[in-house]
Amino acid sequence: MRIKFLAIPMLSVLLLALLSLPASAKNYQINVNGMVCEFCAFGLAKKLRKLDFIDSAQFEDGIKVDIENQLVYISIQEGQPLNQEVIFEAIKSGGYDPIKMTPMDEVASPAEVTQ
Amino acid sequence: MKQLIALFVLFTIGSVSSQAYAHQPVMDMAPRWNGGYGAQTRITHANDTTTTWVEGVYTFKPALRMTLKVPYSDGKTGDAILAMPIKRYKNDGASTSNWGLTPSVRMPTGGGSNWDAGLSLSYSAESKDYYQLYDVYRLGDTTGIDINAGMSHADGKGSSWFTLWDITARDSDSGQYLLSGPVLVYFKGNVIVRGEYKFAVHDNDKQWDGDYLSIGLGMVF
Repeated sequence: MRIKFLAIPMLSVLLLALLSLPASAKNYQINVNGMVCEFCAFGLAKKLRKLDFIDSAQFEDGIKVDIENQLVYISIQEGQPLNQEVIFEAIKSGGYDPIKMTPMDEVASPAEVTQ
Repeated sequence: MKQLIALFVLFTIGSVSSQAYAHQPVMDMAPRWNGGYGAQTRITHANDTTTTWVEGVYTFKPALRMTLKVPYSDGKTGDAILAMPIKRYKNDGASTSNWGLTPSVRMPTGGGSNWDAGLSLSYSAESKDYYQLYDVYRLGDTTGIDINAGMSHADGKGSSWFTLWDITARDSDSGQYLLSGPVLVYFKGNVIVRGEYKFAVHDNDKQWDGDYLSIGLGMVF
């Protein structure tokens, strides 16, 4: 009886923790060094759009480039695992240097990005 | 398949092929991505002659490209220039720059028999607000210096304007000249449009006479 009494809140806490893991985030912000030119960023966006886990229904075919702040926004399909290594490799092959990747809900709302 | 298309672009334009501005990069900033390619055409007018340049570029990786430039004027194909820009990029937070070393060869596709070797050393840097390019080269009997510097203005929706000033100096067996003037560049998506007008500041060249006008349109993929 005492074990059941403790187990229910513990499981609830565990479930809440799992739901709040960054892996559940669908959209990410990536800081990219040197990305200052729209023309040059065309290739970077092209490389990222080729990744098969990109959600092309979001942003502009799944990607949004912000050269003002050297940021790339990327949307991952629901249920797909996040593969940061593949994403960073695509950015490098586009000619730029990725620095860090942050879940969008920690930095901005999608509405703020799409405006 | 993509590489085959790029090689097709490069060598097809080779079948349609003067001097002047032959060393300059084909779209310096792009394509800087692995497997990127592009083509552009420029129409130049100088010395009472209008020349159409057909140019192609293929990027093996950001550090290595191949370019081909073919001039066509007065119903004749001129000498094509094949070059291999080797670049070392440095990406900082809000700027990017590169040093370039470009060996080139001018081929006698215009009917002559002379092959000319060339070498260029360049540096370019840009931020969201400025762009600058410095290039020193030697091709055949010509030594040249080119400087492009100015402002860039992005609208945040995929297009940009560059308003630059150009300084062009040449020294060859026929003499020396110095040109200067404005350059306007517009980007939208994967399309680039470039126009420039340069007036003669100094002309002591027996084969040069007057100003220079150039209008170009290119695309990258």
